[in-house]
Amino acid sequence: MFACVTSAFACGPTPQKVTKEITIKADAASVWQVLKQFDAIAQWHPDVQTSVPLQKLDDEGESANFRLITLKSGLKLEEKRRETPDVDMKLDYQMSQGDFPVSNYRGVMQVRTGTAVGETIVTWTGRFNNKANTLDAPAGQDNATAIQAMELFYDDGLAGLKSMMEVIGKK
Amino acid sequence: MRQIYVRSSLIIGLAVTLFATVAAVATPFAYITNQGANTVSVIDLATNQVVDTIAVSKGPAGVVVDGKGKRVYVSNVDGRSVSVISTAKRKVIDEIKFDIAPVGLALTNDGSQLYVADWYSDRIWVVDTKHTQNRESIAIGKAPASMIFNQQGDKLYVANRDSDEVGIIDARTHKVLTKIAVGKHPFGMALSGDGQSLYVVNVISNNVTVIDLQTNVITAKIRVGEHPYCATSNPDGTRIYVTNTGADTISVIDTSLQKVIATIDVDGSPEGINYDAVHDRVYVASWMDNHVTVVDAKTNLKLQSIPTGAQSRALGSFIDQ
Repeated sequence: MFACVTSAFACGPTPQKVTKEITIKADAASVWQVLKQFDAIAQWHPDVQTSVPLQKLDDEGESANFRLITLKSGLKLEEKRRETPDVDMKLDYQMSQGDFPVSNYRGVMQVRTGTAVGETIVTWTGRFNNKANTLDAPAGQDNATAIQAMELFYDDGLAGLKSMMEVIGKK
Repeated sequence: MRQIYVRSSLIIGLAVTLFATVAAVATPFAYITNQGANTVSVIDLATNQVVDTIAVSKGPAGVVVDGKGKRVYVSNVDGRSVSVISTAKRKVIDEIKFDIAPVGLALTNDGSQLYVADWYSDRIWVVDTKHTQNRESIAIGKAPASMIFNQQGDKLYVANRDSDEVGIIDARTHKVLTKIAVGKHPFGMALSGDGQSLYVVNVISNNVTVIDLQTNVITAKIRVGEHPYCATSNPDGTRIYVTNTGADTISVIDTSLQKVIATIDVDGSPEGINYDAVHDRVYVASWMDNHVTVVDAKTNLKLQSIPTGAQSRALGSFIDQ
């Protein structure tokens, strides 16, 4: 199915982290209403071509919600959602397979009310290893490549989410 | 006269006892490795304040405290070394270099030998802590992660993550005695309070394997939360606490019931976990939130978060008591 399948959770000893945050002029509940639609990322992320929902059995044989993302670059990510209480306003998922240049990747998007009235803060945090999942990874599969790809994906995504939410707010 | 003598010796005895008690409870400290900041945060467990931050080498992960020797050993995965910290000076006093990537650490009871797990070469290094160039290695299994001694100190248990087994090493001869198949990707381990059982955390299986150390037979498999990582016991061995990195929770296992009796929400990606016997609290390093979460072991409630440094891990025995 994919050119390269990540070995699930064969995590190396030094996972990498990218954290990005953005303030959106919209209330937290409406931002969360958009984000919680796990398979609707194509609506707000400018780098995503398509996102397809999948319901299937995970590694433990339990039914789970997945999304299959195809980026405009052609790279693919299949991600499994971890169900969390709605009141937490937290989207939590793990990459199950894909050719995005990371391995052992977990992403968390946290929505919370901002300091100013009518503002919302969205924090997107990723935990991942480089694609090769080794200390001396070859170029293209190393930490620098993984971090650069993640930062670009998060920056573009948050900017897209902000722009969409603030346009909705003006309507 | 006799009565007076008895009385004064009793008073002296009481005074000695009191003094000894004070000395024994003299503030324990926690030493938290911060992988992304290349530091160790020192937390005073009486006040739950960070009282010092010590610079170490790159990517600190594992930790073991030598309370008697007043040393803390920290494994720097990317720096390929072990930093030796003096707890009196709160400074790095030596750096033990390796060619490899050290992760898990264990120390003999007398502090004379440091065991260092090398994730990538599938070996355990035994280092003489007085003469750190004196070292030998033991071939063990794929990606050795955490290590733990039995109470007698004559056997070392090693979680070989990528060969899904626990290896047992004779601490005197350094021979591998046997290997026990467990769940998928064992990482952290905890010895039960009575020293009779070993709790092995299986990252991919989302469970804990319980091994009877007399017979080396598996007596239970206990389901915990998503992507579990490390474990610790309370002193009387009635509870085992397991961090679930993928669910941001701790599972509390009742060891007589052999099942999870409580699940506690903590900060994101909880990794290393230790029990503070002085205050009956559980300390958990949170990689995602750069915190240590403090949990009251009596109520199973989260008490507070202590900001530490980027990507706190504290894999190992990080409290000096």
